[in-house]
Amino acid sequence: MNLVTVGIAEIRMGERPDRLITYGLGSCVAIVLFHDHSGTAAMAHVMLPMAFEGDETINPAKYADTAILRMTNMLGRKGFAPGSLAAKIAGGADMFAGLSRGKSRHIGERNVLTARKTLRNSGIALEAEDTGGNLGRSVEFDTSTGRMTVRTLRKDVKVL
Amino acid sequence: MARPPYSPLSLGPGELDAIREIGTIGAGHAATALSRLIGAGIDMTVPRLTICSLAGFPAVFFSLEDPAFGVMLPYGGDLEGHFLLLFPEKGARSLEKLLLPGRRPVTESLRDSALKETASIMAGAFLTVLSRITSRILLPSPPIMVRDMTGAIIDEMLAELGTGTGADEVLTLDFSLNQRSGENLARTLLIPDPTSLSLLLEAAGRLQVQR
Repeated sequence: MNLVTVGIAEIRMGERPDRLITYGLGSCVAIVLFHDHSGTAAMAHVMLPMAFEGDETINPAKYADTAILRMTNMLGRKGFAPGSLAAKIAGGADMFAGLSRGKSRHIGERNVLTARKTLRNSGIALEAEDTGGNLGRSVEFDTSTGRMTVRTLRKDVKVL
Repeated sequence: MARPPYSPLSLGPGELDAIREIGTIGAGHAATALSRLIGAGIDMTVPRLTICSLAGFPAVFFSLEDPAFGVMLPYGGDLEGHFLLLFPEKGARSLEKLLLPGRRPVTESLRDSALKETASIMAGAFLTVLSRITSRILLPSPPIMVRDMTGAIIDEMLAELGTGTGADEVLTLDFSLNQRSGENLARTLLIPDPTSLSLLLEAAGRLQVQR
């Protein structure tokens, strides 16, 4: 079993019985796409909702929309069609209230909205999510069980 | 394809040296300000300048799940931007004892306000240095503070930084302020937003011209 740590703006893959982990999500969102039967999963730690138009140097793992497309392709190359995949997401907190004053929506919220929409457009079922609020989260995905564990500083643990 | 204008990767060695030097001057002022505040001597480590990718970033510095205080300090005037400071909880507790001697128990709001004030004073010292070198008017606004996982605070800071830019690398300055006994008071991580980085560069340019 490997512990696979996913950094900010990074995508990593894992096979059963690996665990995919990302620490300290603020307004960022952890997106997991997995194929339950085979125990194959990909996790992205995305920072921003959408790629800037015309920006060709982008790292797809940084944006919710491009990260989902990239992970769909990665899993597709292993023979898993989008319809056979499921998704779980966590994050998108608004920790610094007032930081985004003047903007219509907080960046965490926009990350979550874009992730949901891109999943829907890709035909991937969003099975569970733990998003919003004002607390940071750490997320661990167990490819053996398909469960996502979400921790905060308040010590409450959620299992999705 | 051109890199985003503020990408730290486009900086030359001379510019990096100058930024480091401005960081040292700023941190020195911050240390002096803190020393006056608590009425005791403070030692400062030489600021370390780091440029790294977003993915590798937070783990370079801290234990990501440890609690910390993150303070965001907006400023206005001739330029608008913000500085972000991070105080790991352990050092913040020592700092709190010096800031609020004899007051037990310390309420959460009293502690928060003491830490905010400290961050404000330190950032003010930094701003004063930048303002003096660039001849620009820079006015600090009230700080916004949170207590959460270290990693989550950095994550949020980076997302805010990434808004409106395409950069995949960040530049940071970090330094420690210690008591004479060696006990750590604050580990300060300064992540300049694009405006603040351009300000640092402008100051760096002035500093080079003056030589």
